[in-house]
Amino acid sequence: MTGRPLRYRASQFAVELTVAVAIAIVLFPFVFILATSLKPPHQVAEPGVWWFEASFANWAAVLLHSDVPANILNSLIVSLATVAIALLVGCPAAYSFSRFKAGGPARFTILSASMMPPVILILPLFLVFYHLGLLDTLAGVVVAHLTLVMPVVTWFLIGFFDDVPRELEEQAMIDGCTQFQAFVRVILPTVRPGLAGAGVFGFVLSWNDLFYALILTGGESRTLPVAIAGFWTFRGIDMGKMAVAILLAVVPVLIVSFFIQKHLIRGLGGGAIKS
Amino acid sequence: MSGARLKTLHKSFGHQEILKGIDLTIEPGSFTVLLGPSGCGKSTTLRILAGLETQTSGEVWIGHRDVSALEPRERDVAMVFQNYALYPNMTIARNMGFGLKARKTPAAEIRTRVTEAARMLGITELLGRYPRQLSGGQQQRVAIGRAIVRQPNLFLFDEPLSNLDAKLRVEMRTELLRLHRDLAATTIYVTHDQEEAMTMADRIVVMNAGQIEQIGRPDEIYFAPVSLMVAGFVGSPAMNLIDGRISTGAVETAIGRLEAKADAPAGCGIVLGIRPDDLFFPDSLEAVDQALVLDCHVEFIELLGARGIVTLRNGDTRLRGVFEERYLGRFAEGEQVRLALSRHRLHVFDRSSGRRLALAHAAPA
Repeated sequence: MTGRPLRYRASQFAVELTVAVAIAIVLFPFVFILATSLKPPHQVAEPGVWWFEASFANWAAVLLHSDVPANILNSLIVSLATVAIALLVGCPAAYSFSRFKAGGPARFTILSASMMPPVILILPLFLVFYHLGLLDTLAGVVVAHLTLVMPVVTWFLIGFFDDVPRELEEQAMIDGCTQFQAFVRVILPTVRPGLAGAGVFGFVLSWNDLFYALILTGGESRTLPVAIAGFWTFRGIDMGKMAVAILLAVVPVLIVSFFIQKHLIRGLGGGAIKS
Repeated sequence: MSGARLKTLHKSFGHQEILKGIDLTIEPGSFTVLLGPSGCGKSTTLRILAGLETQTSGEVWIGHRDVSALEPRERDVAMVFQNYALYPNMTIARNMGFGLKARKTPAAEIRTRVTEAARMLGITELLGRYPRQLSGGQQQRVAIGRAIVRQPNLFLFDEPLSNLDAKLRVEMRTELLRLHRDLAATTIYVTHDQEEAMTMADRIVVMNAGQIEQIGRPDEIYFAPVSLMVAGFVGSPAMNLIDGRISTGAVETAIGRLEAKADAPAGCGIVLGIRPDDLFFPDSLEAVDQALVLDCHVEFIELLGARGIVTLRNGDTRLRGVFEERYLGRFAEGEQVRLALSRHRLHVFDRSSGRRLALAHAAPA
């Protein structure tokens, strides 16, 4: 009689233990980086040291006496602009692919940019941007990021539009809407979780990109990942400041993900759950 | 209130012809049911009326307007879908008022009309809720309410009760009929459920393979089906169909010889149709009306409450009969029983064309 609850408790414990181990593995790098960011300069290069007198010297240096705040602003502008354009264009595109079964081959072709290694795209992009005067501009980075983000956002949303019953827009059209009004007033609000998911996904892709930004920007328009990489110089790695910059890069993503985690999970599920 | 008219309507999807020339006039204020098996084109017809599909050729008239080329929003129709199609992001009140808002009706009037429709349907307390918080039956009422507030020219229903359980379906049927009586609105209702069609319609349009098989009142469809398809499709349990052929002055079938003249040449293959409720005990039928007396073997008796379905065998022919409870005592499984057919309740169809043949009975001896 008592065997069952005992076994249940044991399995419960095993589950909790596994979760705890997983959390520890995920959190360890953050804790390590946080610790590094707070270490005084002479202890920064000693990863084994866990007991030290916390110092905010690195934080002050990065936030007050470096270009990192400007780089953060650049990254924000680039990521938000990329996501906005990707949603603005990708959303109607996904809707068309879903509803009209339009452009069969185009559906796959738009993925080609994200399937190609970025190295293949960067040379033509660099040359084109050079001639257009877009090198070292935020607009240039946005365009480069769109090759990455737009296909993903579009494909992400196709599944959501597939899940919206066709009768919904037909009802709206009978109720007095044009097809476009039906799309804006009825369909878009229905796929809001998908839009949020796609938005965050696209934002993270753009926010984290180092490759395009590193090659296309150099001075004024450096984004945060480029700035982080910049702490690795010929004279060595400025670990303390780099740790601060890394935390600054991660925190916005965490905050955004936290607030829309419900939508994000549904989004990553590819619209598997009907609203 | 308007009627509607479909003129030689054709619709093809690729090489597949879905509608093969539909001509139909719908009287103002009538309740017309489009009935037929799945794939017969009834929903396509309704969708063309609504403007959700474009006809390949032909014309659609609503009232005195040719709406063939108009968008759905310009046709002034309301439609209730099988899955209700309520807007999930809007409250019930906004769902119901959406059509009026899209037509720029003043807010005060929207409120009055939504409140009035909600009162009629008994859903006033649901107005602040969202569709996901409602049961299937409540969602159905909302969908109907949304159609009512619009006060459209035509009400179109596409199998609206199919997703409800049996009990609720019967309740909603009555409700819809009551609404139709109160509003006297022209209604076109698509279903594959012949019971729904029989109980609700003023007029039934039976469709098959993209064509209209028969148009008529429910009793006409039931008692005088014009084709084998209609005969077999309408009625539950289905009509008994027995093969036979025309001989001189008579109709020969597997269950016996009928002294009657059918409107077809001798030798022509026919199908004799007998409704399950048209099998009688000889003592309950005037001798003069008896067309044929059958000795049958009773195979099964299925009790349905006040009635029962009896499966019988005459030679190699299996027949199903429906009898009231007071007659069921006369049947015993495994026993023989003598039954009679009424000469007024026989249906004869040409086997090759499926069309109904007129039957003239020989004068009783």
